[in-house]
Amino acid sequence: MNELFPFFADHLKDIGLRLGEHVRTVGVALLLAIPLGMGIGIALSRGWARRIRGPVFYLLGLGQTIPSLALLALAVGLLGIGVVPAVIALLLYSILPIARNCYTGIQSVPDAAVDAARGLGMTQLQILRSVQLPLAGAYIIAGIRTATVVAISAGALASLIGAGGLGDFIFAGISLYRPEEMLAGAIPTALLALGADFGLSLLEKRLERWRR
Amino acid sequence: MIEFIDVRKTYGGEIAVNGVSLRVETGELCVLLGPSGCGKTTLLRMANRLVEPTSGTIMIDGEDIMCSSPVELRRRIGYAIQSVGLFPHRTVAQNIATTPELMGMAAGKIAARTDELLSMMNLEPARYRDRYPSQLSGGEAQRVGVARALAADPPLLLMDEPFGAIDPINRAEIREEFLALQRRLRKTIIFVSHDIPEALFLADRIALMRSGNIEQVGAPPELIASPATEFVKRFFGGDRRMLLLETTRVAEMTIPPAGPGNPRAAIAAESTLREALLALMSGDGEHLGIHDGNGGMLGEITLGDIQRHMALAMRADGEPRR
Ligand SMILES: Nc1ncnc2c1ncn2[C@@H]1O[C@H](COP(=O)(O)OP(=O)(O)OP(=O)(O)O)[C@@H](O)[C@H]1O
Ligand SMILES: [Mg+2]
Repeated sequence: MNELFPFFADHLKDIGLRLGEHVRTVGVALLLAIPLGMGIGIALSRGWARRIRGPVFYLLGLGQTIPSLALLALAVGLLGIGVVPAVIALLLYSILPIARNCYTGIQSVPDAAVDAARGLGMTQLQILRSVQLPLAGAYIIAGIRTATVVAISAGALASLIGAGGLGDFIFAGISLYRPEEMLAGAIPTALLALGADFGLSLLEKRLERWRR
Repeated sequence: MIEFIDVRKTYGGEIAVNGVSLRVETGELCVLLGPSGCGKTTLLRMANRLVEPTSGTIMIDGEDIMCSSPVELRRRIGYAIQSVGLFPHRTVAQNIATTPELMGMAAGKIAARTDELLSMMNLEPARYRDRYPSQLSGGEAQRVGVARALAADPPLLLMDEPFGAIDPINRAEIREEFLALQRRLRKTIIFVSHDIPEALFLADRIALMRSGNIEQVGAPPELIASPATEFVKRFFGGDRRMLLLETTRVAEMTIPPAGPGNPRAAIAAESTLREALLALMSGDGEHLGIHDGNGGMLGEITLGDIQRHMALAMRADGEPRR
């Protein structure tokens, strides 16, 4: 354990590099998952989607049920190795919490508020933009928060399919039996997840200011 | 002016509004009164196309409402919804500003208008404008809802039990202020209520509804004194003579000219017969002077004049006409 600090000190640059890769893979996946997930959530909240709501959530749920490792393996089978399959696997993994929370958030908006908005002469788009989405804001951020934490942890596995990231240290450390190297990957991954979680929780609270 | 012509609304097989015709003149306040579930809200919401009629026509100032887009129509009509429906994430001021903003009014003008409306609703602007709806009492929220409906200064207002959540004491007060306001603004208003005193107090005319139909339309004293159906008669219940005294204004009586010698007491012609009666009983003269509110004397009345008016009004003891 006391080799931890020297290892950290010696590999600072490397850790930074892998951290960068990790953030890139997870970040790209999330940047795609957020609009996609929100789009799905919004679409499913419309009246016309009543019939397909169940099946769509079931399909998205399947993506969640498959263990992340298996999902990565599937991605490799279909798309080969590298960053692209990793991003796609993480994307599939993080859409559900975003879509589900966005949908739930919109459902939670009081009917009376939507009714008043219609009565005052807002268009559907204006109702969505200035009533439903702001009121669903905290739910949506909570979904993004879950997705982010999940994607950061699952992102460590991306190393197995050649997408780099902090997983490189973890898996090298495990196979070479070098705990300090393993921790050099695990600790920053954990800190990254905790940091993102904390940051987003602040945003979530901020969006709930109006709840007294 | 808004006119409903044989308007029907059915939900599945259920009839909510059963071929109603009603005309509300410009500047008139018409109260839709009736028991819960009789179709008041449904009728009201057809006027701004929140509910599409199954059949029939609705005209505003001679134009079929189906000729305007729902969004454009609604911006021209003020609407205070039964469940208030303030936007929880917007402050009081932002809530009130909704329609003016949609219509592209300048921000400075909106702010001035918001404060004006808050004062009008008896809510001190400095105290209330930056609050969120969760920081308001039920009655305060309702008043903000009314202010929001008035914000774009629409000529036509639809109000669905706007004072329902206000406690009796404040309710009487806000009712009086609202009537004073309406006397000044002269909006065309359809006002839903299931509170009899409120309806009698505010209405120019009442449309009394029962299970999707209008039973009778008329000025309050008319409905009380000559109910068209047994339902109307029983709806007002209690002592209809008392209600008539409370809803008839002295101005509606024939006022004999003043005789020689000044009567000791005088009241305004706007007062109710009940107030006149009390004044006659507490004063020591036999005569009560009636003035027009601006210092001009209109004449004087006696207890006998009130009795005669009541007897005429309650002709045949107000047996239903059909
Ligand atoms: N969307 C709807 N679907 C089915 N039935 C409805 C719908 N809206 C109203 N109704 C029915 O139509 C009838 C009239 O309802 P409405 O809301 O107009 O009554 P109301 O007079 O406003 O009652 P209240 O005083 O309780 O507000 C009721 O029987 C109600 O159940
Ligand atoms: Mg109603």
